Amino acid sequence: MKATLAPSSLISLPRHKVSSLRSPSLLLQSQRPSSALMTTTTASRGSVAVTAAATSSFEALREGIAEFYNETSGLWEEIWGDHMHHGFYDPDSSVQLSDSGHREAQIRMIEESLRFAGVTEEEKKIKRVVDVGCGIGGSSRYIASKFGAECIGITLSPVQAKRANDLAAAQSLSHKVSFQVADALEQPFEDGIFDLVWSMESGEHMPDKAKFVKELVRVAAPGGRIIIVTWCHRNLSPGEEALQPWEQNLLDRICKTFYLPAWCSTSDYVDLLQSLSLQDIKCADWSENVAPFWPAVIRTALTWKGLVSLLRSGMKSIKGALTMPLMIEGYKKGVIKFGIITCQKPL
Amino acid sequence: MRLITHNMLSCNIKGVKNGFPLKIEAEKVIEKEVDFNPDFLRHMFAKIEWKALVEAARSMGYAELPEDSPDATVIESADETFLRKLHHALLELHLEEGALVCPETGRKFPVNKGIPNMLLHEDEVKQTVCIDLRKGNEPTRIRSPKDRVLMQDVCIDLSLQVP
Repeated sequence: MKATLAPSSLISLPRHKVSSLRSPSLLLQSQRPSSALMTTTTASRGSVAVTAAATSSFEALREGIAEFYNETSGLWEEIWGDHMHHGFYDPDSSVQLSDSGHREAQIRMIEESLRFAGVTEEEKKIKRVVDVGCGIGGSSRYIASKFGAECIGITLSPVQAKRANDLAAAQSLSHKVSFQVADALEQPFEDGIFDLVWSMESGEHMPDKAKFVKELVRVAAPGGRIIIVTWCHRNLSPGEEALQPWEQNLLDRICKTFYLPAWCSTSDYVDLLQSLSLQDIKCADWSENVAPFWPAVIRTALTWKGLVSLLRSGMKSIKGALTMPLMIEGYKKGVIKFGIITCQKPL
Repeated sequence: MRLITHNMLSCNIKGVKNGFPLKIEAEKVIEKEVDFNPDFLRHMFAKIEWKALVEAARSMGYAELPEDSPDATVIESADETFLRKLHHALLELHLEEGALVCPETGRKFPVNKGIPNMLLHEDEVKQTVCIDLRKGNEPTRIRSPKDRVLMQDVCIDLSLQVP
């Protein structure tokens, strides 16, 4: 039986430091002193133990994400351009693509996502778009141009926001797109103002998926569409309560270097959207369509230019690069899925 | 930051009911010319919060906008006088340095190099707490996948035995 308590009534519960969990899921190891919310008393065996998960851990994660992208964005842009997401490829395409082929695939990813969500026929209705986790603004600029709409992007990284704004200015798009530093879990917008809510490969960074989805829904206008494209783990079978330990272990190793909190499945997103009464909820597994991506990224990292840039860029980039084979392993073994989930907010 | 952006930003500190519009404290305002695009302005006009725009423009030193939002005939007419004023206020004035101030709490969100930082501090965010129940040193099994992702409320599993 479950009961819910308001957070304030937990003040007197003992604090217990979590050394390791099967998954970084509910709780992230706190790297900073715990929030003042918790007092310290000894946790006795068998008692209810509480970890100061959210606030200070979320702050630590938020800073980690910002620093990661502050450090690595420039490197990514140098080699891959301004779209920081997977390309969309035909399944089983064995042709090794050129650089421009991969960039086209990244554009195709945007187009396929819009099409999947049923957005393409509604161009005139889209006036305002939010890009949640906008990177250096590739999607924002593309979508703003495509629909003649106003697009606002949010990122945790000040370096990315600045670069995104500079690129917009260089492309004469400053009047349509702008970027700021903000938290996707606390979007600085009024309710219901965006006709299109876009989250391209940012969901995996969100430590609280329920809150993340709630915010996406809150800022969507009635009749507006929400598009989430994100890395998930495989759906659990009925009766299965968690991933296998080896699967969890693989994901944990990836989480550390990419500053990812818990993974969830595509079904979890669908459940959340259903619980919020969204309409026309659709989802798909696009893992086969992104298969060429990580091998291509690794190949570019192993070029002379790639290696030199990595070394110049710093430890976070290097560790990130070393983690990429794990992504391939995850996809191959069916643990990691590339998911798209879309829906419409009722009128 | 241009006023087209300011017109969308609001303060989301927990408990704040009226976080829009943010007041502007302008330390450095610059003007950057942007190509005039009347169709874009007409397309966007309906979405603009007019009073907020007028007030914000004044804070940035531009007082040419009418107090009241003009009706559709003015927007659609061939005379572009009004649209040019709107264009200038909305797209050509940049707040480079300064702050956006919550109208309810007075909290200042800094604007540096034209980029607002809207991140909230720890104590401004609705607290989310998770409980990891332990018996001895073993973490309990998570009861369902939904439990892992539904973190808004605090949940305690009362069915566990405490020795």
